[in-house]
Amino acid sequence: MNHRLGPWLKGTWRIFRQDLIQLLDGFHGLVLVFILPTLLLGLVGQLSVQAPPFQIRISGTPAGDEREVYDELIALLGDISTVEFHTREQLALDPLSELKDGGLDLLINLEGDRPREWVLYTAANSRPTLASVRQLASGLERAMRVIEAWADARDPEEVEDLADETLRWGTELGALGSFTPRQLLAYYPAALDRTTDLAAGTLVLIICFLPFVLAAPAFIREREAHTLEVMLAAPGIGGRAVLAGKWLFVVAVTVVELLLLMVVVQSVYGIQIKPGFLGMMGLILPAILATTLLGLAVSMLVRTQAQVGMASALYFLALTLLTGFLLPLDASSVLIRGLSQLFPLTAVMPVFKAWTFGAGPGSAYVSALGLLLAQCLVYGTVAFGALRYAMRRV
Amino acid sequence: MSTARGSARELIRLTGVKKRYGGQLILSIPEFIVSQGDRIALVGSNGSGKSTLLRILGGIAPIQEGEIWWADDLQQEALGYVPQGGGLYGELSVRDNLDLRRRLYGLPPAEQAHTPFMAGLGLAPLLEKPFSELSGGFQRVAVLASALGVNPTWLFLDEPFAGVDEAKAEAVSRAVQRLTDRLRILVVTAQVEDAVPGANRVVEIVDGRLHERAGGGA
Repeated sequence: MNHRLGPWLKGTWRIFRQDLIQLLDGFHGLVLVFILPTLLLGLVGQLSVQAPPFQIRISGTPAGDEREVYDELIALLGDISTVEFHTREQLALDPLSELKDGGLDLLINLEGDRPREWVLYTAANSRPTLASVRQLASGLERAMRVIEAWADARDPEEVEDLADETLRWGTELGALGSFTPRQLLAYYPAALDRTTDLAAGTLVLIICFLPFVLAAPAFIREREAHTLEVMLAAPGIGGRAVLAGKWLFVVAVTVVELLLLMVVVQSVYGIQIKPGFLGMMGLILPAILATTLLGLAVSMLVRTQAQVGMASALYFLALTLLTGFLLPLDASSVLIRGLSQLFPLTAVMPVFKAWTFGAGPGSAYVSALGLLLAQCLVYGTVAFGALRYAMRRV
Repeated sequence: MSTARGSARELIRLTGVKKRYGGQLILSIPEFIVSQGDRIALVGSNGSGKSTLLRILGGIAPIQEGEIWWADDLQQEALGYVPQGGGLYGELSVRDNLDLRRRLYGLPPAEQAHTPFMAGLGLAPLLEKPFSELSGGFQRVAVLASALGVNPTWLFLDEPFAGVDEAKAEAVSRAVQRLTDRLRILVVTAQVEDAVPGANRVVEIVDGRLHERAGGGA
């Protein structure tokens, strides 16, 4: 086995080194791959992004002791910049229709003379649900306080405490059924603003796009220049070594870029590196691997560099529209939600954002990892199949 | 088809090889043997399959049917290969391309980039120029220089004189001939055998089949 593995590893290393030398040759490659994406992330902070307010309507008046909790809840909601709430005396006859047609995100019924007191209706999911506000109120209150505290948190110990706290309320709210922390992560304190959310999203967008842009031209460029034949003529270098070398190059470059972007996120946006960084890398790396394999597969299947450019543009468009980057996917059709599963960004973005704002690993992490590994498997199979096809055309 | 040089040491053997592109049979070779010291002129019309056979012999292109065998020691040695077009990176200088090619073969960059070969062909002053900015003739010379720069013991040249003016073609031809003593195999494709001086075997490809002509021009 070793006598076959040794030359293969050498071949892989030589292809990796060759691509790296070419990237580092001159200023253009460095500017395009490292400097411009990093500057772009820094510029996101210059955008003035206002989150649409989270629309909450509270109906009825609480009875007795509940009045105090109600007042606290209202006060808390009022402190959150992205929440806009309205009150009315009577609950709508058809609260679910009001949610659907009235553009509300949350409807809280405080009327005491109904069989189920303190009920909450949420349209965050496709099927609105009922939950006891008694249960919700404490969790929500703590959530708001934690989020508020994030705005000023700079000390690492304080951040760590907040991360634990966030995890605890997330767990509590998760117990309420479909009203999960995922929805509550839409709340951000005024000091952080939605720009920070956009920064985290842009970071993973770059990380899930860069490998494609680097990998997609990898083979077609060599084919057009007839340098693929030259590579294959070298001792110990076969199609698999070329594939592995190019894959390794793209992954290594993207990881370096990720580290640069993390520095920007920390220094420009004040988002501290949280505990669980290695765990998050355990999610980002499969996303990079899957994207790279997809890009390499495209590279072997297209016929010209112009087609690569077109494929890259379409991939970027798909990343922004079909992954939840611009628009939430919850209310989208089954087709769109199904298509979204093809993109690593769909899996990694919500978990990365949650981690950026202090959430700990939860069930979302496991399901995201599962999806990413499945993507790696599928795109790896496609890439190897495409390699066999491409080699027949040499 | 078997070679008449039965006593020489076999280095490459093709048996029952078939090569197809998109379902179309390009080559059908019952048997073909390349032996130590062979200087083969592979001739044929455009699209006859010369380049494909060259790539198959070099282990660059896979086959759909049949077997290829290379001597173990040959596989460990450097194959200098010049493709029909291109072969170097357009945006890199000639010098960087030469260094890259050597690194690809596990060799350090050449201490002395100016070789007598380059000087003789007028390539030396162009070493720092991007490959894409060279004329067609100098591009072919640069690709040949990169193939020779890896100290090959078997050299495969695919139409090396295409687009090269007469004077350069003559100089390239002389340079390759000077190398032949240390080459175990030399295979050159061309439209006509006269373009391959020093050949001791002439193999013509017609309709995907090989026909060995009697008497090379050694």
